[in-house]
Amino acid sequence: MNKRTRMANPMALFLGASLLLLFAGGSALQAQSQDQTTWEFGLTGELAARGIKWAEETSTLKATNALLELRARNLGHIFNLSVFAGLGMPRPNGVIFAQLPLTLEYQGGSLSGLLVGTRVEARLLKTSDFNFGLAGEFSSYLGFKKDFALSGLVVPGTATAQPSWSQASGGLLVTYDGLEGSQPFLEVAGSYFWGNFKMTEKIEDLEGEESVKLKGSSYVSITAGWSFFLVDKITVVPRIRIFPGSKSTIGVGLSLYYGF
Amino acid sequence: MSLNNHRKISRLWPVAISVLLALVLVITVTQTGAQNKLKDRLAASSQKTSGRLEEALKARLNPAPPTRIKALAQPVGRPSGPKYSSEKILVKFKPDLSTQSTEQILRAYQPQSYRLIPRINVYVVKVGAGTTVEETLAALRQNPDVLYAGPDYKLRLAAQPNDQLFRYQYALYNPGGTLQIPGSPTGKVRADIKVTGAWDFSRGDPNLLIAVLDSGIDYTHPDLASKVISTGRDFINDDDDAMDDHWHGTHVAGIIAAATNNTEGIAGVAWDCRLLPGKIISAEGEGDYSDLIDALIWAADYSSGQAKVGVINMSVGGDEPDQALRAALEYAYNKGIVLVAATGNDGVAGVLYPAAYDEFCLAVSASDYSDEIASFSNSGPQVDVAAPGVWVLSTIPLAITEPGYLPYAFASGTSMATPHVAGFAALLKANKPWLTPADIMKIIKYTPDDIETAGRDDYAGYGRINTERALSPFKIVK
Repeated sequence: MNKRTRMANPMALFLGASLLLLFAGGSALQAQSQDQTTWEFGLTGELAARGIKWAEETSTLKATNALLELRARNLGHIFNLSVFAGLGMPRPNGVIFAQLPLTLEYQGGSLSGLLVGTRVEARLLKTSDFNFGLAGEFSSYLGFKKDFALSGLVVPGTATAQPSWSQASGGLLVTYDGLEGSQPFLEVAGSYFWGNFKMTEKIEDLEGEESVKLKGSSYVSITAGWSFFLVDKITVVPRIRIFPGSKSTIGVGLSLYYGF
Repeated sequence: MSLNNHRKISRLWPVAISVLLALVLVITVTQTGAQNKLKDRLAASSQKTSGRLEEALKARLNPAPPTRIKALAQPVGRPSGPKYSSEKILVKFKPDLSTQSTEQILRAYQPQSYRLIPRINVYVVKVGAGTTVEETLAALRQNPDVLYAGPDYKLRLAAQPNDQLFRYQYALYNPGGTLQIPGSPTGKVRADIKVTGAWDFSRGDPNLLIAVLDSGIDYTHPDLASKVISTGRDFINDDDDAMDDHWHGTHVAGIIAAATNNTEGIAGVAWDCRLLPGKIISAEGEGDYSDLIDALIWAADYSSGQAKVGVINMSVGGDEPDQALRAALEYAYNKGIVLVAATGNDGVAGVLYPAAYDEFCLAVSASDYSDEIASFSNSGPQVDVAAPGVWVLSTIPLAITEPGYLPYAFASGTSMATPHVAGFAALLKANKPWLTPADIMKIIKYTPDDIETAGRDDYAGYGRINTERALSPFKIVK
């Protein structure tokens, strides 16, 4: 069995399971909560919560983000839809720019940039106190240019870094409605990442520019979280994310929503 | 607030505290795990400490200079002889003239012979019997069809050779402390070109040739036999056998690319590269500009299979500028070749040619085991970088090796500094073949260790070369 076939099988299983959920959930949808659509404004902080691996797993882009979010819950009694934007601070340490006249290795830590995205959750099947559904997310990051002095040379030198990337993920979402005032959830998602890290080098009159393609292999993340409905209109959602099989560390996030 | 709500909230506190604790723990773990492992770049020294060589060296407790090497130790400075050839001149005609016309004009001056150096259309003219170079030049300069007419200046070697033997190639790895070289001076730790670290990233390329335009190369030398691509070209004797009948070229060649990791002899800087010998210096240590010009064109055009010349080493120099020499340098440079030349060994202000042609050539001065500029090293605004050039151990021809001695010797001079830079240029070019000669020259100039006065100066240029800094990834840090 070749590699492509091996990769295709889990994907087919995943799609099959999703379709099954859609059909099986058809009747159950009628029994869904009849709650009205609510709008929420959210603040989210993430620490290493968007683990992205590339370069044959030798490095991981750990993103720390501060996001503003607008969320519509129970849209059409099925969907939660949100859009978010904010400050992304990935740390693409370890990327090497070997095509430049003087090879550079980025170890400069976080690079600020604009992170925007959207997320959709669909509840498809309710059994007992469990809700089964799908979740999908797409996000893009555009880094602000940042200059670094190249110290140690006999002439002044500067490196200008500017990464950008996009990430798409989708997976299964299970929520538990059996608790009063809170709702734990578990999400298993597959994710794909692609991006570009541009580096410009200028050392006196020696100049060069290189864009390293950041193309991560697909990976799986497991997110466990808990929505706490503290008081009317205020919801706090802590979550923890792990990346089985990758060298990335654990990521965490905390969101605060206010309904209006 | 209702009782129900109060209960709800009170139930949440333990959960919230647990979550916060978990967050703190995770943050700590994340930060620790985020530390990037620094790659241990402590490269194992490939410095040669051949057992046989050491035994031979130890045996020479009283290192009387071998008689056949002693002859090499004549002082090399400004020549006392004529500055240019008494027979030959260089002439270039205006480009709109045909070859037939230019040769007709030349014949009017009744030369003994003449030949055209292709590509740059310069004639090497042997002046007629009964006339002098000066008279012929004066006459030619009156001719409106002549673009340039000048003497064929003398080249000389930029070396202060010495026949004493030492244990270490401090130039490649300087351990500091008392060095076992003449006078047993105290060396400064790592006052060297840092090449052992650079070899982690580049060791050269067999298809990248380094042309050594010098006195030839002893291509039968055990440390060079596998490194010389062909017997080269002898411009002195006009044949295809550039065997070294002096010593200088073989010494230079060993510094650049002696066979390395072969359990004997010395290590070369660019030890995966191969050498192309071009003999432009006679057995007496003399040469003419015309031979250097010819050799530059020949080397620039040379190819053998995939192999092409990427670097030309010129540990030679003359006092005068020359348009034809400049044109030949420009020709080679435009073919993507990095040109490296010695500044000269007179200990005065004034860089020799071709090194003084700053736009095409890297001009190399000589430093010592303590990163001091050698007193003999010429200075000037054209000096680009320095490299070790004092008591440098390298190969010498078997023909001048005394029985019982190994074919290696120490020598000093900007001639010995220059091949370190030529090897460095080859390492860079092998590592990044897309770089232009201008890029490589800039990298070499901007990455040295600053010695002498801070910043660029006329003695060390930008400083003593640091190959590791130029070849290893430069870390961008906050």
